[in-house]
Amino acid sequence: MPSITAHASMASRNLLAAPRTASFSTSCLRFALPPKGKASQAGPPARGQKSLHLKKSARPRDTGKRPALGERKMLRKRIVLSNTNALEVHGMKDLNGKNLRAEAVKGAVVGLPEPVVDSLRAVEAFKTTQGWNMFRRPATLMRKESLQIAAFVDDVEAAVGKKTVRKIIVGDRASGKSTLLLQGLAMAFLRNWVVINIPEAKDLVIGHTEYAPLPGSNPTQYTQDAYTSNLLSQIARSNSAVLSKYCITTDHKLSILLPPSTTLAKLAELGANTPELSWPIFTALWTELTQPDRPPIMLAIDGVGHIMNNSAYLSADAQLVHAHDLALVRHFVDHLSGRTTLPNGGIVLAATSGSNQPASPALEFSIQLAEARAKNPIDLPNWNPYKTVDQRSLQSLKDVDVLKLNGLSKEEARAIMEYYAASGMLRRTVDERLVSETWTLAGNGNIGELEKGSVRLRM
Amino acid sequence: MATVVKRLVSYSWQCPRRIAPRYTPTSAIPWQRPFSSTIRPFKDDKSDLREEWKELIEDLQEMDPETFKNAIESGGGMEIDKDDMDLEELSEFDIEPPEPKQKIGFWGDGEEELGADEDYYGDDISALGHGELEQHRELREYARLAAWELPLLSKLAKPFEPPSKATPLRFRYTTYLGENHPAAKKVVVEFCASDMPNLTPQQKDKLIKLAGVRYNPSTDIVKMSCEMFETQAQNKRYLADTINNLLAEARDEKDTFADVPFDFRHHKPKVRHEFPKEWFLTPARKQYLETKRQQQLEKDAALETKGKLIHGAKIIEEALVNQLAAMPVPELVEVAPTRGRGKQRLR
Repeated sequence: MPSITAHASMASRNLLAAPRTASFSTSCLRFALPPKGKASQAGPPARGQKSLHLKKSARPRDTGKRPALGERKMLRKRIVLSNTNALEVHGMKDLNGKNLRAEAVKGAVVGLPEPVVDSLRAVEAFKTTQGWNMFRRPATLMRKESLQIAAFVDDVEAAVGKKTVRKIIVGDRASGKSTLLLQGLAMAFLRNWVVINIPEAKDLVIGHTEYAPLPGSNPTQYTQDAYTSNLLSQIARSNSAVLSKYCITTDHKLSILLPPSTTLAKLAELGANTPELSWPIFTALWTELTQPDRPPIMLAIDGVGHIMNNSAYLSADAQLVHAHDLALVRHFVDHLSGRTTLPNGGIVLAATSGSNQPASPALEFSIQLAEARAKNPIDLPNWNPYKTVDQRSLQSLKDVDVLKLNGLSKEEARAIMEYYAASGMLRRTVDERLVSETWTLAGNGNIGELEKGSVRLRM
Repeated sequence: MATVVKRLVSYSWQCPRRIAPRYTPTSAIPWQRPFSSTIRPFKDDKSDLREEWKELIEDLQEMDPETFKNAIESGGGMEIDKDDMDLEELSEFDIEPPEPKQKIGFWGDGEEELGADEDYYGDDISALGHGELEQHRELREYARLAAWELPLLSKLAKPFEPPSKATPLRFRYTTYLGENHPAAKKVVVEFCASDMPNLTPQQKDKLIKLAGVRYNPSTDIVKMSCEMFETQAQNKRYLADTINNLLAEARDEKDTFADVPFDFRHHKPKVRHEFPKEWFLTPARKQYLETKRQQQLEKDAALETKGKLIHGAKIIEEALVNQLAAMPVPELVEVAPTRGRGKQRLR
């Protein structure tokens, strides 16, 4: 490599050595570092010398007390079931196991007995958006559809071959779908059924709870241990009376030793306390519940639209996991679709949501199809083949029937408005005129709107 | 340059002239009346005219009326003496050169087609006025046509014959009444898919699938257009060929397209909302509503008499009264006199 320094005299004359700047360019000047001022040349102040320090004024800080850990969530999720300022309604009947379809409760507002309320609270059947906090104690209107569910309960118990009723509850926003689900659960509790309720399907699929592949499953399924253990604890708390009647009958080959006198309630509690074993214990509990001479089962889920699509979980090869590949969801969907029946009979209820429903074309179309099938089984709508659809969901919902919730009738509206007035929440005379007016303004008796228009709205 | 000057002249014609060129000034210094509105006094030459007229009338009187008559009968002009037509001398074959063109005027310099400068005699309206008149005449001509000629067109009218099964194609052409227009060559054809002859349902389905977005499922009509070619006839030919090809393909059993679903995503059916029949306020319905309202009133009245009608406000009042009654009455306790040793403040 020739060195320029060896021929210094030549290098200076070399064209290449000349400074290669475009004669008219101003870039160098513009991008050059700013010239150093005199202050920076002086260096830091000498030791012992004083220099001016201007402190930045501190921002005014919010000195208010922060909410404690989990306090916000507690406030958000708090269920208030009583209002001591509301009046007690005299002459209101309570629902019990025998009067589910009695004449006295048809179209009337009935109270929920204390133990049922506790159980319902344990399975998180009450929602914050519902108006329980405005009345003295929880009470519901036995509307036409509630009586239909009561009829299903009776059917299941009366059927010889142990019937499984599968229904999707659909209806407009605030038409009382979740409340109907709650009524179904209450009836099941009253009849000493085993109730398993998934209060919000969204919690299962949005990736907020831990998941792990289920060993030995093909295609891979995923268990959600934390959620399952919580579910088991809910089952144990809400069904303790029923579950403690039965002991385990088979060896479930769990990694912990179970004494033969273990009751099912104990088993569920065990699962609640050991999340890593929650899924095997859940399956063991399910096996026990499906043994002969066990009570019927009520399976319920709210916001079913969430589990009719891909979940937010990722598989090992970074693909979205389909919701039906989650073990718990699959367990529910198998029963909803009728792939698995309940050997002791029971009801599988799934409610859609009007306010928090992700777009699920499969569910939408299945509902349409079911409604058309109920009307006329020959003339069925066709799926638009140019729309993308989740085939698995479509398959699973192929022959599920819907329970459509319409508005209240005027008689039902009158009953509930009389209840409002008797509770001291409606300062008006409940006559036909007021009922008619409110009923119409509530979109032909949509119960949520009716409540909003008569109790919540203060004029 | 000359054009501008010429135009200037033409505009100046529209203004009243100062100098009328019909007369020659009698004196060396012309008499000028620049702002006068009366007629100029011209030289009186009417006496000469009178003499000329007299001469002409006499000549006409001398003419033999027979000559006119013969001329009219023979169909030609007056007889010409043929003896005089002999050409004997060479010089008689010479054709006189045409008269030199009229001298081009000052204003037409450089633009010979404009011709000589015209004289204006102050007896005409402006070019603008002529244009207006021309337009008016044209309008009148068309009005005459509309009044007299158009009714005669009804003689040419043919009775309408609805298209038959044999003619399922409907072509549409556009005319711009003789004007040139880029869309004048466009041809549109419409046909009903069910009207096409000799198609099995499967073939018809294939035709619809092949037609794609040109098919309207609400009306069952395929609509195609062509303006690719220069002339209307070519475009129509192309459309006809396309339809023939479509039909041939539809009849081709090799691939029936049975596995391809219909794609009607291009079509959005129009939603029509109709007033519900049940909502019409017929006398019967009015009667029904009236009785229903009456029944409601009676029902409320009956409940009121039984004391079962629920008044919200009254219930609250009663409850408040009951609450007050249920509250234990606070007992009055005698306050023991203080016997403290502390200083008593007097006031």
